[in-house]
Amino acid sequence: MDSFAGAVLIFVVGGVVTLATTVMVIQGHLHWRGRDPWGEG
Amino acid sequence: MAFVPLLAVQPFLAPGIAWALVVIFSVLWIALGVSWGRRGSGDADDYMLAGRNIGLALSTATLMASWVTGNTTLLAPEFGYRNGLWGMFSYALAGLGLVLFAPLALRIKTLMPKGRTSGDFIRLRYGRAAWWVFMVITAIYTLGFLVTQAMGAGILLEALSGFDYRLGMVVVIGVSTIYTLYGGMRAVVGTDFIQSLLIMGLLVLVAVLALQQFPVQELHRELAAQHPERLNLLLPAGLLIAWNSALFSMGEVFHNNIWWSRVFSSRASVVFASFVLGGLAWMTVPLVTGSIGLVALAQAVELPQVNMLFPVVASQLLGAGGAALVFVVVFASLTSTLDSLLASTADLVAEDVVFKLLNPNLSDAQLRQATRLVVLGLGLLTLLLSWPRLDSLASVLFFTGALVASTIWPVAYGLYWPSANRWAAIAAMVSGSAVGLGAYVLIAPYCAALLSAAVSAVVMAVGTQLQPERFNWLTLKEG
Repeated sequence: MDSFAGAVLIFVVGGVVTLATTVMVIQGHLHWRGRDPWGEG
Repeated sequence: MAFVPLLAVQPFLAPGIAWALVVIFSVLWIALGVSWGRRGSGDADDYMLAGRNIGLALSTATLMASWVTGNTTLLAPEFGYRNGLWGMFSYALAGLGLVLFAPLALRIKTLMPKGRTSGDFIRLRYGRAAWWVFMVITAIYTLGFLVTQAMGAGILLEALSGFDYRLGMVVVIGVSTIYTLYGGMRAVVGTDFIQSLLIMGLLVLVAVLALQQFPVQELHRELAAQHPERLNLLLPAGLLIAWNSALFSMGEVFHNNIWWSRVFSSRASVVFASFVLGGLAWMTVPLVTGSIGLVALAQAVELPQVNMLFPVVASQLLGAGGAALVFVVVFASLTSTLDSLLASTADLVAEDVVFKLLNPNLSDAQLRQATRLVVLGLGLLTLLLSWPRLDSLASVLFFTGALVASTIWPVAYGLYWPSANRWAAIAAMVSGSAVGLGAYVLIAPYCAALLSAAVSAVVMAVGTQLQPERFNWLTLKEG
């Protein structure tokens, strides 16, 4: 694997992890909006 | 961001002016900190969390000031200089940690009205075993952060003003410790507010002057002709570092008590907005200082050492005044970060270790006294550990990216989903840290946080799917 392909791979993996974390946080935030915070969800 | 550049150049500032600035700002911070600390009810909550009543302006300013270290002003221009646009963008992405923590902060504030630390959450949510793993991670990170900031203070002040390394270090640690000791979180937040205004105002001044002398169109034309690779968004070096800062910063912010203590200190109505605004305001700092790096590159400014780029450009633009300005920005950046670290780490040790683990019968006054003693002890410990100058410590600190990134998913998942499994959380932190450290050694430092977060996320999600828990959120109310 040349340096450019390796860099693209690292970039894509980093982007996927960052995006997945962002989606998880936003999903959790929207899920609890307007609900009883101590309820079962 | 918790990195420290290495410097060894001729001082920019005459010793007399440097001494005058140090005395003026040291007396100012201590006087204001002690004065603000005298306000309030005087109980443990007031000392540790400023009475849990900080408004939007102070909350935003303290977040931004704590996140701006000496390196944000000195390392970000180097990132822009070396890696062009990606250097600026990747450094600025470290602000994402604060922005993404905003929804979590709102949830924390709601679920834990009496909470004091991030350790409280981990203990109540996942149990004592997870707490131990978490405390080891946060102890390594926090000590590394404290020591590198202290060493950075000595090294930076030496480079800027010719001060002896130990003198600069002792002054910055001493001043931060004194006003934090007497004023607690109230002093930290108050001084952070002024420090953030100083940092932002002076940085904008330098950037405006730089771009007046060298307009954007001219800058672009020069870079496109002389250094086209710095404008290339497909530059391999840029792609490699692109997400590292974002994931490292998420790990730092999601787990560390600096940011949790700000959540507990702020009013519920402002906590979400302050993290979003603090993160966005912080992002402007590396973008502004990074653009100064591009100006220096386009102008072919002669640099004794590339990490002295900001002082060199400021001195060229404003003469001796520019050097003094850089000195003030760096001094404010260092003290605002160290005071936050001292106060929030003292809260964590006093609340989680002294109170909850060793002596649950402590009275409120005894807890307050214990917190003060821990502030003093931490100041002295930092001084002791930073006494021998280690210029290579910066690279060692990259190790902590592997550790802190492993806490991102256990923290966030545990705040939102009652099914989040405690053993999955422990496995996620341990396996993420191990893989991240392995990646640091075997592949490259910029892979450490990335692979740690990736493995931790998979372990947390899969472990929870295999063995879901039914956590009762009311458990967090006692914390």
